[in-house]
Amino acid sequence: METETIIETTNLTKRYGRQTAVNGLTLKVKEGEIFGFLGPNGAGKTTTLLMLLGLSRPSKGSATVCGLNPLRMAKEVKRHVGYLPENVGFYEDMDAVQSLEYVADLNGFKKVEAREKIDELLEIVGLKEEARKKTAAFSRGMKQRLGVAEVLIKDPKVLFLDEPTLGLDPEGAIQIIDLIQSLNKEKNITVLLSSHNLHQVQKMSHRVGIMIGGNLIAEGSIDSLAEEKFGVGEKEYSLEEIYMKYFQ
Amino acid sequence: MQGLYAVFKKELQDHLSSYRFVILFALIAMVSFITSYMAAVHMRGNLEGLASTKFPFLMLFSTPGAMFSMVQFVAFFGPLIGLILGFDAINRERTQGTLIKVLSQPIYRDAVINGKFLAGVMTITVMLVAIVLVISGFGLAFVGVVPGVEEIWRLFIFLIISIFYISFWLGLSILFSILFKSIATSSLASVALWIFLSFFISLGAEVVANTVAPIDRKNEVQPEVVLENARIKEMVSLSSPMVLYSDAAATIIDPMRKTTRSIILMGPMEELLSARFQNPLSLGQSIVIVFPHIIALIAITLICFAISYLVFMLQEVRT
Amino acid sequence: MRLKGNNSILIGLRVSIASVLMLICLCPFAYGQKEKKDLPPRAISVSPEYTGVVVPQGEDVNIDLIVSNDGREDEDIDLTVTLIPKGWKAWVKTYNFGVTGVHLNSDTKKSLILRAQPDKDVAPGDYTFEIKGQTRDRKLTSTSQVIIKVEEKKDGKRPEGVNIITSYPVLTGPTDAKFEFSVEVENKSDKDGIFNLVAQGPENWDINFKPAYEDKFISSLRLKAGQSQTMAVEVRPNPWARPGQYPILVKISSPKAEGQVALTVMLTGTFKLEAGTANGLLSLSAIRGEQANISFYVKNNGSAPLAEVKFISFQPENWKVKFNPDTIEMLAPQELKQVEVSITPAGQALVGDYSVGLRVESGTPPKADKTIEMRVSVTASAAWGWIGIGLIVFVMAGLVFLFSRLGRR
Repeated sequence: METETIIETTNLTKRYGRQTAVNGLTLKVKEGEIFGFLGPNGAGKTTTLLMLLGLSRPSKGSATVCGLNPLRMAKEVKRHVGYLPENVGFYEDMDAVQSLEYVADLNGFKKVEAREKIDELLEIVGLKEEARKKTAAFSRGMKQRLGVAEVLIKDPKVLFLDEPTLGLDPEGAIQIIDLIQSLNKEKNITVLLSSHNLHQVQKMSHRVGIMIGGNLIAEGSIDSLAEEKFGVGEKEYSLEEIYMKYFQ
Repeated sequence: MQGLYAVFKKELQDHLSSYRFVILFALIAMVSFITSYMAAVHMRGNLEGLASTKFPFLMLFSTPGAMFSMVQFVAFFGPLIGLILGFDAINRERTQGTLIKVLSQPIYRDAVINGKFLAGVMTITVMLVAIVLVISGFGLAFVGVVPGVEEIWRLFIFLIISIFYISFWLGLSILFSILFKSIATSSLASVALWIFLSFFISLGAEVVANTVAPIDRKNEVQPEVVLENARIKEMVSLSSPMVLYSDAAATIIDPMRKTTRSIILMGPMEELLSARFQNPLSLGQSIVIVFPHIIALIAITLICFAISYLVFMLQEVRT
Repeated sequence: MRLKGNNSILIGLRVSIASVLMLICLCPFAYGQKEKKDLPPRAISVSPEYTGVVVPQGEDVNIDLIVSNDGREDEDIDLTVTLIPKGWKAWVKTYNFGVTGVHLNSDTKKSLILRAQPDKDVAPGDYTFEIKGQTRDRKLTSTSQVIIKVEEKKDGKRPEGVNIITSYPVLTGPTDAKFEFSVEVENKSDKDGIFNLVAQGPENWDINFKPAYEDKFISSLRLKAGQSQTMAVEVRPNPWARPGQYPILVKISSPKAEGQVALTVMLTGTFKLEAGTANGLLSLSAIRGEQANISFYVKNNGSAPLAEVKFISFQPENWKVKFNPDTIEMLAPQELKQVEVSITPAGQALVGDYSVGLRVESGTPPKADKTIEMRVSVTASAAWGWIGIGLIVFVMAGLVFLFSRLGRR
């Protein structure tokens, strides 16, 4: 299968005052890939995602998403990219359907079109039963799944998932991970996810990048990372060990 | 544009269905209704004696009933509507995490703030138009006064001024909701500023006036000093949007009002010769008198919105 | 007291004109009744009513003369005054003409008048006049004598026929005024009389006689003997008359007497000012603190020239009203002049309508004046409005700039 580069960054830098959140990030993600950003909190993962979406202006460097510059063509980029923020929020007085309808509305869907889509998506994320429940009553896992449903309304080519499994019970996490993997496989959606949960990243990512303090310190498949950077074989070491190794 | 419209629609639905708005709307509608009722009763009793009045219809809005006239009431409590519609516009979405989700949809970022502001303005418009129509219908039914063309124009301009006035407070509270992360802070700041601009400025104006041009009550009072005192007081008061609004609205609503000043120095000849023709002002002249007020109101409203817009657009999404 | 006119007075009994006429009328009746009477064949007599009278010096004397034919034949009688004292003129006359002969039917009488006119230098004394009546055939003659005793004149007591006097013979006023002369008419004779009133004045003038305190026009006046009455002569000059002096002669006459008085009207011309605007509009609007101009005309509607035409304005304090020209030296009758007036309301004036009075007057103290009231609608300047609109446009432009700069994010 011929793969094309769908996300590319060159020397992408973001500073907040004196603090550098992302420092000279140069990265390529290929179409159909699941790329995992790894790193502790505050490593610059979310900032990178926001810059790729055009929601944050890079201080330096440039990026291309689906062949578009997010700085100039933010709206077009956002049409192709679904972003599930960390701790996604909902309007509490809306139910799941209303919430999805609003997102569909924002995406410019017609009402009838949207209704079909919403039914289909609720099926996919398994919230059919809770369709008319107020989002305020949703559990964390349900919210996360509803968030994924919202992201999928626009039929994205690329998904940005920010800590998709954060705060979920293991079962919920597995559901989300399965969902992501199936979407990747069935719809050939490129997924860029950030997490500090090594196991889950390890489980689904084709490639990972490790970010610490704004710097991408390593990038590649988990095998190659283990071997090249740290001299360990995958069989003996998990990603967590590689990670730990780095801090040492 | 579809993003703007989606936000606008959603916000409008929110406003019109939210309890706090409905309660406040009911309250204001009720009070203005009562005020007009009192005005109408007062008018019906006096309309014979007021044969000279050329604009009886407008008196429904300008006559003080029990305590306030309709104009004064909007001046005092209209701002609350604006504040309530906007004080948590942005920071609530930010706290509950919906802002970033909405922004990641294929819309321009300003669709959010424009949509919210426009929805607020629309709500205000609907509210004011409804109140004015109810009072008008009431006047038609109860007092039997039919508005003339000029009266309708005056009411229309009054509506526009009122919409801008309340929109100013909407813009201000939206600005605070952008600046302050906490809803409590933004709401308190809005209310504090409202109280300051509406009530403390007039006190401050008096203090300033008495300091700069004190009136010596023990000795004979010079009219020039009184005039100067009043002038300074009015100048300082004009920094209050409420004063701007009530001056403008009262002058538009009342064609006999020829100045916004409270004290004027008039020579005996001037008094005599101006009393010769007791004509109401033409609409054009009424507008010209309070044109600076109207312009200032519109300008501060637009500037307030522009600042909100600027801050919102330049702000980092995450912070 | 100045007297004018005929000095002749009827002497003798105070008999009114009416009585005299009655006497004349009765004659034919008397003849008819006496037809059957026994009469001499021929008889005439010429007899004065009074054979001796007393008159003041210089006064004419009229004495009724009765000529009668007492015979059965009709007679033509020649009358001559045969004896006239020196310094006198005397003749026989009727009311209208002198008489030298009279035809009398049988048993009729005719009343004639012997008129004696003394020269001025006729001294007091007795003067005897003889009148002779003679039939045409000279067969019958009747002579009678009248003795006139001339007494020395006593001032003021001279009885006259009619006296007309006025205390104010000259009145002065403008052309459009009504002049009323108060005239006293006195019937000084001892007979009642009806007096005709005639006035001679300039052409096209309206002259009427009115009883005092009554508003009706009269053309004759009845006065009892010795009575006097005040009446008014009302004069309305021709409106186009030039200023100047106009004499008016008022004549009062009865058959027996006449009097006249000269009145004079001094016309000063009328002083009338007219002012207004060309289109009749008396309103203008002015921006406060800014000059507004309007022009109005001043017209001399009178017949006299107006000097020193000044303009005065009544305006609120701190307003400025200027006239250009600010005076007009002379305005001839019917002359029209345009005056520019600029009104500057005070900068702090309230908007609304004001009354501004513009007064035109001529002379001190003013002979004529006219005030026009202007309605000045003071409006506020819209100049600030443009600044305001500019401000709004500026703010809007700023917003648009923001939108275009940041809106496409």
